[in-house]
Amino acid sequence: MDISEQTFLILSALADQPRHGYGLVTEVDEMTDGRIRLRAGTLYGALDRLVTQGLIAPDRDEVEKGRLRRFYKLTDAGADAIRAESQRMATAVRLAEERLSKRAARNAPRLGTIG
Amino acid sequence: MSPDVSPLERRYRLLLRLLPAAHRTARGEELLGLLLDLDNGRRHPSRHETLHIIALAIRLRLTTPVTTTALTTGLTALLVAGGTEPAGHTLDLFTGAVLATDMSTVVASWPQMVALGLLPLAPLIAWLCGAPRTALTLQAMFLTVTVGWLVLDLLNGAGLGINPGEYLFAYAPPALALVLLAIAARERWTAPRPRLFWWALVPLGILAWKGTGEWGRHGVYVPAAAPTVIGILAAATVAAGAAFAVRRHRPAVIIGVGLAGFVAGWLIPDALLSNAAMQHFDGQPLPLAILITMIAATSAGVSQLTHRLKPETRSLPPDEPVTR
Repeated sequence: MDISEQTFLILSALADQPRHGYGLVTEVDEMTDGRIRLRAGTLYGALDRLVTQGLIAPDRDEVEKGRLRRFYKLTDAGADAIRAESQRMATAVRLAEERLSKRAARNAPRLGTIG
Repeated sequence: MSPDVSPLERRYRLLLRLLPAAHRTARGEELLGLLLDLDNGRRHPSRHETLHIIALAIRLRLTTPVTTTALTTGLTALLVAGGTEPAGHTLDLFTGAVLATDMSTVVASWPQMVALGLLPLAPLIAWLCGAPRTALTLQAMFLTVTVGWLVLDLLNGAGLGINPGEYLFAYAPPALALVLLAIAARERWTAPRPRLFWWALVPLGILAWKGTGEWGRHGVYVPAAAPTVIGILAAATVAAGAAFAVRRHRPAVIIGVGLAGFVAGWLIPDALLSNAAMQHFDGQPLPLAILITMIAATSAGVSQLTHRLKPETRSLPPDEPVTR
């Protein structure tokens, strides 16, 4: 399954514990050092889609300061999706590093040559 | 609404009315809570959150089953009407539109003419075959070429004295089809069913365009009452549609919206539909697309009604006794 960076981050933010919408926004903000700021409309579209795909599920509802907060938890299918995507990314990183090492070796000055 | 509701909450509640009612009931309070958390301390909703809520509302409204069916039907009708037009005109060129004395020129360039006539069918065929992305690419190429052709004509001075309204009317269907195909590719929509109905419309569309060519050559007679009939039908349709859209509101609102729809429906046909039917029908795919959409919607409505009225039948499990 192809998942976008945004979806990957939402799933990863739910990996350790269930979170509500605001918790997800702040967690993703922290995970990316402020690079990705989820908007409410975008987040709810993504949450709807992920629930339909069975990657996350509603956990519980809480009311805090008169505001409804619905918590979401990662499902086993969601955990598998993160694992598969992490492996794909790790492979891509390894391949890129191998090629960078080869490039560095090729560009390194050779002993006994001039210029 | 209680007096202790903050201005921010009041404004966000208004904004959330853009969402479909079912979604608002299920998720509205949850979404409102998040919006208030994100914009804590503000009096007005932030621009970014507002834009994203509007985008979410559009997306949700576009993806309801009724909207999806209506839009895919309209899109397929546009593709049929626009795609079959060049093929119909090509057919007409070889079967009566050209004088016998000039036929040799047409016959000499037949490969080019047949190719130009058949190529615009490609997006329609790709769409009907279940390849919306291919259809989108082909439609984008087709539109770029035709618009580019027009721009070159205008730059060369060939566009002097053209009617801009007529051109706008002619380019609206392919541009609209492109937009709908982009949404279809993104939302993974497919062509509506029954597919046989739409496939059958391809040769019928070509014949319809051939027919309009014949019609134009033998003099066009339109009864004087046609604009009035079109006006009444369109006004009644718009009024009924508008009243149906607000059917859950108070009767006064339904009547008011229905009347406003009737007036709007009366004014629009005069400018658009009558104009299309009387002046621009020759060579304009939009009226044919509207006609096809109306036929498809009517047949779908009749099919749905028949399905509802048909008594429910079920097969008995093997061990269930049959009572007489």
